Amino acid sequence: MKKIKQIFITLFLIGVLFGCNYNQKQKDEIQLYEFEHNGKTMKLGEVFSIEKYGQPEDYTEVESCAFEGLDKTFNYGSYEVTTFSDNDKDKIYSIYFLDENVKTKEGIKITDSFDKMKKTYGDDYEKIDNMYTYTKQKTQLNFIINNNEITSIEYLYAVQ
Amino acid sequence: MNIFILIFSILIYASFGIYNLIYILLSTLISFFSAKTLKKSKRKKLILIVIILNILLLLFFKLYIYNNFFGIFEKTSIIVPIGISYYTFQIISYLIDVYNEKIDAETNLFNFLLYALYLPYLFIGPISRYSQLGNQLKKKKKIKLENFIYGFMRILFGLFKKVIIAQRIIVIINYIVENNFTGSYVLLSCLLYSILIYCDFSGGIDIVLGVSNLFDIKLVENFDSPYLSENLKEFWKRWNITLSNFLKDYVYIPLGGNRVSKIRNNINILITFFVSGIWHGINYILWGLLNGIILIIENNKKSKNRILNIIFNYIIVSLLWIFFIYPNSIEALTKLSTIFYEFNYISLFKNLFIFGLEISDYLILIISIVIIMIFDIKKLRIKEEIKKMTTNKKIIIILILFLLVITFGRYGIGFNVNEFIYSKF
Amino acid sequence: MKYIKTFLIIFSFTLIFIFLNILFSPKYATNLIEGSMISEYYDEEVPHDVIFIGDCEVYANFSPIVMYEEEGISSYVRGTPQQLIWQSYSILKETLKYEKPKVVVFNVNSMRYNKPVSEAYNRLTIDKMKWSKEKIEIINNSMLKDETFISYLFPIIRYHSRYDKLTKEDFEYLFKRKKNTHNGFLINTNVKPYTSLPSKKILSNYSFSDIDYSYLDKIVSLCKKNNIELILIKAPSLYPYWYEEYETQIQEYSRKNNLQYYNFASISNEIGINYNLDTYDGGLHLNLSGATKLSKYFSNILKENYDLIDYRKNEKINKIYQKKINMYYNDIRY
Repeated sequence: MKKIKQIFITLFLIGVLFGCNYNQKQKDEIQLYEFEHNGKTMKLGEVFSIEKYGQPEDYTEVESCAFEGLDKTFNYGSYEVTTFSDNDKDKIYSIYFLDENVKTKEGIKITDSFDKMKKTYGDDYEKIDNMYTYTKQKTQLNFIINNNEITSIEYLYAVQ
Repeated sequence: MNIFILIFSILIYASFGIYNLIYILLSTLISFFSAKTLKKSKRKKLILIVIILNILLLLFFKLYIYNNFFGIFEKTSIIVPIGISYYTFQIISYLIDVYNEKIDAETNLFNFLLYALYLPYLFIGPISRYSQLGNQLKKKKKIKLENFIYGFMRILFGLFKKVIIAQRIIVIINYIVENNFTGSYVLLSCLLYSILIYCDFSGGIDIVLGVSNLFDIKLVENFDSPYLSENLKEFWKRWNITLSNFLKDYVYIPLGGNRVSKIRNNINILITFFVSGIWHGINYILWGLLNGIILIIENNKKSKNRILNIIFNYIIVSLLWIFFIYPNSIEALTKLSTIFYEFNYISLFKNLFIFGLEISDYLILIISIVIIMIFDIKKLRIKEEIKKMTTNKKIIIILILFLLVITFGRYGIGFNVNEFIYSKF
Repeated sequence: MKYIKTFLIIFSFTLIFIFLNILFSPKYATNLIEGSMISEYYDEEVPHDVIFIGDCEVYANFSPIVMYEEEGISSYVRGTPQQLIWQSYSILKETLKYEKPKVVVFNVNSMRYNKPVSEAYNRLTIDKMKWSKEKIEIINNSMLKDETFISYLFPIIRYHSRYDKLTKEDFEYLFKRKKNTHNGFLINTNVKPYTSLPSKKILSNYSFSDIDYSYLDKIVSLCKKNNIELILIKAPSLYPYWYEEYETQIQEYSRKNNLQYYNFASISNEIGINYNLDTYDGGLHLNLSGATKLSKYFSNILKENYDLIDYRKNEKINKIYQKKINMYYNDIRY
């Protein structure tokens, strides 16, 4: 009994120490959905500032029913950025495309076909009615499809 | 009542995923029947094989967890059964005891199921022997007010440690880890982690023992004021006692214990701690071995100054917890080394309030830790005093504990009560 | 005899526990006053011929005091922030335990929401409701994933972390209520003219959900059963966008169910609403000036089409309303 145990444990010792020699890879850096335009990269959930992203064409503040701070919307012509307030900081919550003059980082724009979207982003989407949502951790990319064509593109941050 | 306990255990356990139930039943049934055959045919080899099968199953899951966390191979998704480390060892202890003819094989399947599937221990231990827990379960249990009072007191005391102390300390440590702080911050995390893991683990054990007490089931203690230890050897007699005893009885002593040459004894110690490391997880092997090495170097020496010993041992144990704070051993060692060349203590003191706790939290933390310290130091005396108290006084203690936990606990929306640390093993 | 001491201990503890529950609950008296709206109704001493239910678009836009001054109509606005339709239904049911109004007005904006929005809004609507079958119903229908019923039953479970944030208000209003509304209307005299709004977003689905329709059906049949005239309205608001598809569905629904539906948003010009002066948040809600215009307009409609009592002719009730009117103008001057 003892001998068997000893042999077993020794064999295992060797086996695992050998396995331990593999470099412990760090957790892969998962690429989140982010938006690029004119050389600037906007990351959902990050703090928004006009210094960083430039003066918008138009600006709106929307207060929700009772409190919860201000939702701010910055209109940049072809797209609109909405922020939510978190601990006195404005963080990017949504990037909404207004026309087909902007593309996602992967090159998709409004009026592109449904097939092109599928080819670029794959099959791992969630479909509710005609909205197709791709999720990477807390970032979402939403496409609305009408008549096989993309009619709406929005980046959303899952605040919860 | 036993039927109720078993059904309840199975239902709750299954509610976490029916696959959990399949694995534990597999281990339990195979072990039960292999032990039972020993009565008829003296084929001990069968038990040996079942023991090894159980070990292999546990190792498989340990490797699986390691792989998924550190990404050696492609990620897969298998459910890791809850409590596999605890029930595997508990069942193995039974099998070895039967093999060594220390106890008779259980012939009643119901009794054995009760022992293996006893819900409370599946989350955090303790690892009980069949001669102890089996008998507790089989005996006629009485519903006594005394048991209820003691049980609730213990449960609330455990909750006190978990939601008041542990839930606050973890805020600090999470912040330090997530923001990659180094130097004095790492030292702070280690020192605080000692308290955290103690309150978390022993708090959970208090709840398990308290709940068991409600049903007149007495489980073995798993802690004995561990931070009063003066060296590592003593520490491991006071921390996770049931695991230490398992390793002593089923690994260390069979290997020869200390009845062999010094060199061989040291090897035995290292092997035992190696197993302890694996039990926690593949990435804890280094931690286990370091424990063994330091224990060997200490050579059970203690200086004459008790308090100095305690402090020194506390620091050693705290630094060793680095492998629990940073699961990646290489990162752990890197962060640990920064303690010795980065002396950013001033920055630390300036930043006390960025971790996410407010001054009221620190106050509550300090007061509660002092309470636990006093309790650990004067444990016997306090337990005696409480035993002597009238029922009414005990009820008052329970109610006070309840109010403290409900008011000052960090639980509910916005607090994410983290799972118990030792449930991950 | 020997258990008397035990009983006293447990009894005292229960009292302390109840006290702590009350102490830790937010009072919504001077802070987050929207949370007190639901409970101010219980203090009413007059009957109401008209009851409004709905979200902030009712409690910001309709002033019962103005409606009383215009036509002697007695009304109450049982609106709360982000009130969802199943909440409106339960609140209406609860109201009917206290009185039977002649008319119920429901703002259809909440038809666009088909699931609970946030725990904070749930609390503002539910926390100060009196315990009843309807409150249990509303909690169960509104809870988000990580909410628990017991945290509503024992508020200390939700609010225990306020132990270092208690203020004078928590002690002052332990057992009394502060009145912040006027028959449910929240005065706001600020002016923030409409300048711009976020772009109108394309939706993937414009149909109101089954759950919204089912609760609308329930409201309709509840009113029918109690001989109450139900009026559907869309309050004037520039945002969030009331899509044409939404409008079509409501028009069809009211047609099918023989209900009166007024879209005040589409006739804001006729009402005289000027989004430069009459709104306090850039067009989402009307301020006092806008609400006054809308209330006068609506009270005329009510007078023309519904058989409502002119309570100015009722000495006892008129006296109470005179007091209300005085308080109203006092608060405005403030």
